[in-house]
Amino acid sequence: MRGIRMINPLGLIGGILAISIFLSSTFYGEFWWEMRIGEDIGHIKVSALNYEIELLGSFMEIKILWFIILVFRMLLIESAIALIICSIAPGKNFSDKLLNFAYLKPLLILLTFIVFLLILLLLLPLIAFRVSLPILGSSIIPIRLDSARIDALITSRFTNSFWIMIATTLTYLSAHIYHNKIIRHK
Amino acid sequence: MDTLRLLLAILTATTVLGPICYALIVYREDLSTLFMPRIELTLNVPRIEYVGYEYGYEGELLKVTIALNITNPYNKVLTIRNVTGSVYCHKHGEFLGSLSLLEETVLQPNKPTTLKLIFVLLSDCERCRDATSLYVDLKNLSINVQGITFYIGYENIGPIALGRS
Repeated sequence: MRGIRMINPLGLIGGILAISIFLSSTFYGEFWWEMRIGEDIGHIKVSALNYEIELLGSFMEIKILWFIILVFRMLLIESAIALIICSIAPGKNFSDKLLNFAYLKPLLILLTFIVFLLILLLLLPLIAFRVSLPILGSSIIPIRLDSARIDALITSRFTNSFWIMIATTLTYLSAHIYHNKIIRHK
Repeated sequence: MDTLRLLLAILTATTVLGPICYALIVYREDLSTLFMPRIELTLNVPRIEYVGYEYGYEGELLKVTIALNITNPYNKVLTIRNVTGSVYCHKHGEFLGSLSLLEETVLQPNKPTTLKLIFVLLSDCERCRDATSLYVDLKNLSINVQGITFYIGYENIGPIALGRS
């Protein structure tokens, strides 16, 4: 293997995946989870990097979410840059510190997103309307409005971007293990 | 290299706390604006007005088409896929027949659209036989709008002459 510069391939893949998730969420409106209300009556589309809530042609805005999303976007892009740098030069003194700075961030972003989703779907509707919304699959939710009773068909699913984010998180963790077990001992 | 570790820790802290602190400072006068969801939407049941009726015989059966003006109060095109319900005499509460939608109806945003409902007069209200016109109640009305079903009732729709005048 002499002459071949040592790199951490898992770190490179993880970094590129993280940048692609950042770009697809920020510029192409990709979300990790979506809930559709009826047949195009409204939708909730969320990820840790953006959100869109629409009902009957009107969009919902929650200002604090934009600032939280900004935090997650910056954390993800910082971690990706750090991981790529330390993967290109794993033997350098700074690579350990860059790796330690980067490798847990996607996991924290993912866990925060899942906790937020559970609060959004299970806790808030249960407190406000005594109903719980499906995280996955379809169900009919009864709602009272003025004198009318309404049955709303709700369909939820995780998108491909969510599974790519999980793969990215696992790649980050694998890159950390690869760095500690293999590169350090060479 | 501890300097790098310190710098990275500062970077993380700034990344996490910076935007949140900025938001709290900018909206310090009214924090509810920051946390409360904002949507320019009032959920209303669409307004429905009786317009008129048509009738015709299918063999022995009297088929009545009721025209209602329905106003879509939302900024979105909506399609009524299905309507079912029961028709009762308003005055005496006698069951007259079952109701259905004549055809799928597209409701343009903030505009009234005519919705045509059809029912076959299965039984007559005995006590209305001599009346020149009939007022009906639409009960157990189920209106399916793109997967959302409204259960509602409308009363005192008419007058419907039913060819007796």
